[in-house]
Amino acid sequence: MGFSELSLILGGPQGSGLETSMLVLSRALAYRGYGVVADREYYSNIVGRHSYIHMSISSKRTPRSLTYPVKLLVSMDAETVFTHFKDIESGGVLFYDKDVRAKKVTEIPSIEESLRSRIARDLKALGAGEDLESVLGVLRGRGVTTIGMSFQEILRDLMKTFGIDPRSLSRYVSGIITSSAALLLGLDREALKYGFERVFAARAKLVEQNVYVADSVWRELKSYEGLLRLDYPETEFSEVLVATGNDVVAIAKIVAGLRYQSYYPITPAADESFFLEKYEVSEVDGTIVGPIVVIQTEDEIAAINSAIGASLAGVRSSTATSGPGFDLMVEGISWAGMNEAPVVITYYQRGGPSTGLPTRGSQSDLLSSAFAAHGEFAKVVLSSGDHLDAFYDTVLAFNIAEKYQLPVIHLLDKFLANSTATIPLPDLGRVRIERGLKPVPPGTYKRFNLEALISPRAPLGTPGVIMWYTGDEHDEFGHISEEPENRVRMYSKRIEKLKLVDEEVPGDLKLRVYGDEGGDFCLIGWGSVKGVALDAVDEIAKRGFRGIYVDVKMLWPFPRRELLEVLRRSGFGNVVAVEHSYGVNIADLAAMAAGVQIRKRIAKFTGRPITLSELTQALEKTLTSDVDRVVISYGG
Amino acid sequence: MEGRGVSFKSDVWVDWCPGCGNYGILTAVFKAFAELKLDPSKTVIVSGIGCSGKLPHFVNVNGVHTLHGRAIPFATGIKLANPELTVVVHGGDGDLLGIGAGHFVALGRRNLDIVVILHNNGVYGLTKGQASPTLPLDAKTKALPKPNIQQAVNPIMLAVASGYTFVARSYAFEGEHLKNVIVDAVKHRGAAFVDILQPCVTFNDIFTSEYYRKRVYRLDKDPDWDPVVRKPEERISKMLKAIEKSAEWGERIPIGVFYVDSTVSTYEERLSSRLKVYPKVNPASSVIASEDLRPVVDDVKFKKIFSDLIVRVSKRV
Amino acid sequence: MVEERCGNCVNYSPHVYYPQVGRCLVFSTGVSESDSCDKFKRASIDELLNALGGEGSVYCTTCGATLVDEEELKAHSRNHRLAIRAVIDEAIAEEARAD
Repeated sequence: MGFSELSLILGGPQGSGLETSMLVLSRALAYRGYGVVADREYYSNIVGRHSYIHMSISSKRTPRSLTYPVKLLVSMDAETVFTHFKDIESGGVLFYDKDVRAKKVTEIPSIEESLRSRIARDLKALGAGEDLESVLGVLRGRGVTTIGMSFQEILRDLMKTFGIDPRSLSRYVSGIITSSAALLLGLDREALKYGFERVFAARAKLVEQNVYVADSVWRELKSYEGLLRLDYPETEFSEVLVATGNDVVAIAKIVAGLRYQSYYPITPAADESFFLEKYEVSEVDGTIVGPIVVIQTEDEIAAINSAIGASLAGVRSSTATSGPGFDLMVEGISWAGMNEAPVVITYYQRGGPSTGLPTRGSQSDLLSSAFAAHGEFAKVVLSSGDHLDAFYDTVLAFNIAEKYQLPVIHLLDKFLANSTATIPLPDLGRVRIERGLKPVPPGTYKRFNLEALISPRAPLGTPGVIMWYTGDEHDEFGHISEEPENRVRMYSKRIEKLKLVDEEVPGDLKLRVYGDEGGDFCLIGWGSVKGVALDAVDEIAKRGFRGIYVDVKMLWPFPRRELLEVLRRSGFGNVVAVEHSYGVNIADLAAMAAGVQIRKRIAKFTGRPITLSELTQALEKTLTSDVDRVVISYGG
Repeated sequence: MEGRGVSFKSDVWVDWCPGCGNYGILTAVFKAFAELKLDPSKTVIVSGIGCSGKLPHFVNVNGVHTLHGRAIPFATGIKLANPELTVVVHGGDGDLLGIGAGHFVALGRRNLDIVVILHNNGVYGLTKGQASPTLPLDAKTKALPKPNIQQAVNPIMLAVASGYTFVARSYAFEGEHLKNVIVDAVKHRGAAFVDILQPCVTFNDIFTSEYYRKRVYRLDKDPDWDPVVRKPEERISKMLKAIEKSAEWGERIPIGVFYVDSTVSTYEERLSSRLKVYPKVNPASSVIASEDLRPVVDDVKFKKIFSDLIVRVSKRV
Repeated sequence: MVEERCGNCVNYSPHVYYPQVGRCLVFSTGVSESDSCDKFKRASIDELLNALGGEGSVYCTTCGATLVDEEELKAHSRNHRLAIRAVIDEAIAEEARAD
């Protein structure tokens, strides 16, 4: 009997091979039929600061949430152990480097001072010394199995055997920790080798050397093999995508027919554009897919405005950014609204204000994106709860943008962007490309024809057709007009298109209800809290509370009717909102748009993802007491 | 749409101040486009904000009147998406060299095949005559309460330094010369820049038409003036000559072509070396869906294209 | 008397994360700090000052700090392990993410 669900942390300094470890391990696990989700936590730093991967593994499905405490902590350095030792559950396992046993928490320059004194205080309270050896003692006392290996010995052996370059040690340290994790989880060496082969692809030598490392680990740790054995997998997938949120959105953009992507480098959005650049044109079975022009512009202002320019030429265009970049784009969004130009802005939120926590996640830009830009005009904001939703929603974003000729903001976040998951292959049979292109009527072309809310849109370059665009108020031809009657008609047209979106987009794409209605509570959220919210709803059912999760997917126009119906059915009692922000602003948006008061709110704004344990506790607290607001903050 | 015989004049009333240099520029645009026999439906004028920003409405080709300083980014997206279009940017000195200066420099670095026409009058006209980035230090035009406290940027120097491969100057009321320069700029492959000296009758009482009439002289009157880079080795010396000549200002102001370099690859060429199918198959000409709205990428193609990210499950037996 | 092993040699360049292993600047090979050879040269203050003049900086393994002036170097040399430079791992460039 093993574990059907298990969570672990891999930790080490930034750039020490953690990413490689995650890539190898997730592929090896996927190969053997396990579901994986892994969040990547890191500082805004190139060399030296602590980063870690928090992973959930399941033998039944792709896990939906992360949780504490963890069964396994695999550390590359002493700092990882000091930072996370409290996160290991009793009966769990710590894997560490024996060579750093004497290291004291006070001797690690990369630990932030406030954290260092907190750890020192904790150790003192436990009656332990400040060195790693003492921490090991504490852990053993708690029933944690501590397994050490000398990294130096393995690396030295590799240098002697293969003459490896010390500049690539991380490749092998990652091999050590991947191998030890695989061994403990009961993965076989064939699966591990598969992981190495997929990740190192063309570099056969690296595969050979990492297999050698795995053999050394197996020899030395033989007695621990399968200590945390996973159950035999019951998942049903035969093929899975192993990808990050950035990857999935980029893939969806290619499927959606994206032809122009502009960007200015920013975390956590830039990887999406890198991916697109890699796949900018493909030829399969004699068909050309693309080309996509991917351009790194001089700033975000140029990114949005050049994307709008490409849109005027009739191509599907988008840009990807985060908060600081989005702020710079706002004037362009207003122009797109004024000129009824379809464009998609993929917005990965991170912790603000200003530079804030540039490599950490948040959902604090909901109101900023819903209400960005001066003047009034139709604009749509969509969100996605997980990787697969993000795939379909990306296509939806382009379809809505083109059909209704307006800017669409696809509001995602760092948690989704940087987490890797096993994802079922999307069903392309379900995908439709709706461009809303109508034939251009004969006679003089009027780009902003007032006969209908949606005017026939001809791309620049259409033979025999000329048109004008302007950010000024304009007449049907696109020429400047300040005449009041025209102003009223044009201004209203641009706003009233939003009603069409509200009426025509299927309710299921705007708001989704999970769970059986008629229970004790209704948890409401949007975006990446979906997975953890669903798990919390399941978890709290074990404690006797039955409820539903309402995933608000279309944030603007707000699905007022749909929400009211759900709440009416559940009697408006015990509604709790959850969000990665201080304000839990979805509650305020719902109040404004639907007139419902949501008093109970669960907030987290440390930049770390909401985990199952803390959300379940917080939810229970809001349901069992008159406490309205719970702030959670677990995770280092 | 047939280029020959097309009237490029739209029926929108031109509302610039009487005597404005923009009239000279507009007329030169009409004549240049006629001479080039441009197809109006394949031609796009992109402008920023200000008096010059209105120009596209007066011309019978596609017009995109954008944001302050952002005409170049819009034009960049249009041109890259559909490289068959002739794209001409019109902007003022505040627009292109103040708020939009970063984009101005970036276009030079890219050497994308776009023409940038600078309406250079030294003031912000539509906001009532504030000093622009080309107004010299200490100049006091009549709208300014105090003399200008900031220095001027030299547009020609900046264009050469940024990498524009066609750099010229003309004067708004030197009609034939201006038309010829615009024709050459449109014909040039790569980023072309034309600095047009332009009086502002309402706000600039220093750089008047009388001021310019006395001072401008044509570079091509000098038989030794040769701005063309014919091989890469000449690039630096021709650049330096252009920069030196552009510093000449005061009693005599040169107009004409300062610099031409066709030995630098255009952005389109750089892209086609990467994308292979570009520009023949380009974003605007490529297909993204079938008649029945299905994406070009079906399940089979999906697995082939993204095979690197797909894991085929192989459970142990 | 300083033990004559790689870890104490001026030509030992420690890996930025695993300073127990590193690169020998004489033979351009991977070595462990407990290795030794007959080219041993102690990482003396004079050698390090000399390196500072040539390289522009030296590396304090203890603090993970880059030292660029003599006073700093002398202050660190009292109790810390110093090296001419650290080995920067290739994976760092691949995995780095910042603003």
